[in-house]
Amino acid sequence: MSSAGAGPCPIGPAGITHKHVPAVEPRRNSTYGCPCPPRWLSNAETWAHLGLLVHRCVAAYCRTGTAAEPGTALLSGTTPHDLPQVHEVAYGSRLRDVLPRTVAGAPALVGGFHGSWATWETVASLKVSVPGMRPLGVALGAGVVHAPGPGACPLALTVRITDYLASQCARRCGPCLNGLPAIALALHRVLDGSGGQARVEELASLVVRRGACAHPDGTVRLVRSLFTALPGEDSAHAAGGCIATGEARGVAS
Amino acid sequence: MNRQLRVDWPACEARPAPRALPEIVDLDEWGYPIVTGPVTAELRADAVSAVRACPRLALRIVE
Ligand code: SF4
Ligand SMILES: [Zn+2]
Repeated sequence: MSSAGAGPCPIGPAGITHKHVPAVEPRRNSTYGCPCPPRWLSNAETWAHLGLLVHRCVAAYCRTGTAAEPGTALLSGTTPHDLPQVHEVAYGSRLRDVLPRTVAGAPALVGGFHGSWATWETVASLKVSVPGMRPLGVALGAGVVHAPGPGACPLALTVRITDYLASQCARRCGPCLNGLPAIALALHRVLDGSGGQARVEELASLVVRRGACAHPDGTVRLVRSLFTALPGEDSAHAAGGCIATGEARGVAS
Repeated sequence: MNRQLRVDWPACEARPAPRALPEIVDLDEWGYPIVTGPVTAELRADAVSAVRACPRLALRIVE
């Protein structure tokens, strides 16, 4: 579509004339460069791997990891009771090994605040892999695996994280600005048993892919994954209990 | 190929120009547009009007 030129605004304040911009599709600077040619965006971990490649040569580098994914990744394992630990793990190794044994059996959050909840069975079955984990709905993401451990309510933790993520909105896009606090409020209601999962999902669908960045999408991934990994947690809380902590009634967080 | 109506989210301020295009634009509970379908050939002229009507220049038609 070509530029529409200048014209009076039919619904704006009377008398205002807008100059219209040509309809070009927005492009990512990371792909197209600014202005060109493409730029390489990187982080410290990637530079460290580059150094290893140069020092040790490709064959030595490829001795760790798998044939499809050579090398290692830096993963953080965190729990409420231990100091956070950063592990260098070979691709293809067991994800559960970044967590202490004390948290075995309980759900874990894989991939950071924008990550996904997974049952312990899933966590225990996972091998560290970027392309291998993504289709299972538990992407490696930020490389942080947080395990609240047995006796902690993942819903209560998700409520706290969502409050935080809502506060971190850049306040630029309406659906995110309005939607994230609304999701957080709806989650508080699920937690205290006064609201249901349906309202959370309704809001999630109003937020996802409706922002200039992926902050709303990541927040929705976190929230949806909780209900996928812990089906029935909402009704348990509505009945005054909690599946994750095994409480039938009473204090749910 | 059908074109899509694209909203520039940081620019959009929930002013109701897309009401001009109810076939493919709903409004969410805060007044921001929800694009529900492609800009078909029949909707092309209406979509162009909506793009021109947006007081924030936040609507585009993209391939
Ligand atoms: S007309 Fe423009 S500012 Fe108004 S809701 Fe549509 S895109 Fe947003
Ligand atoms: Zn619970």
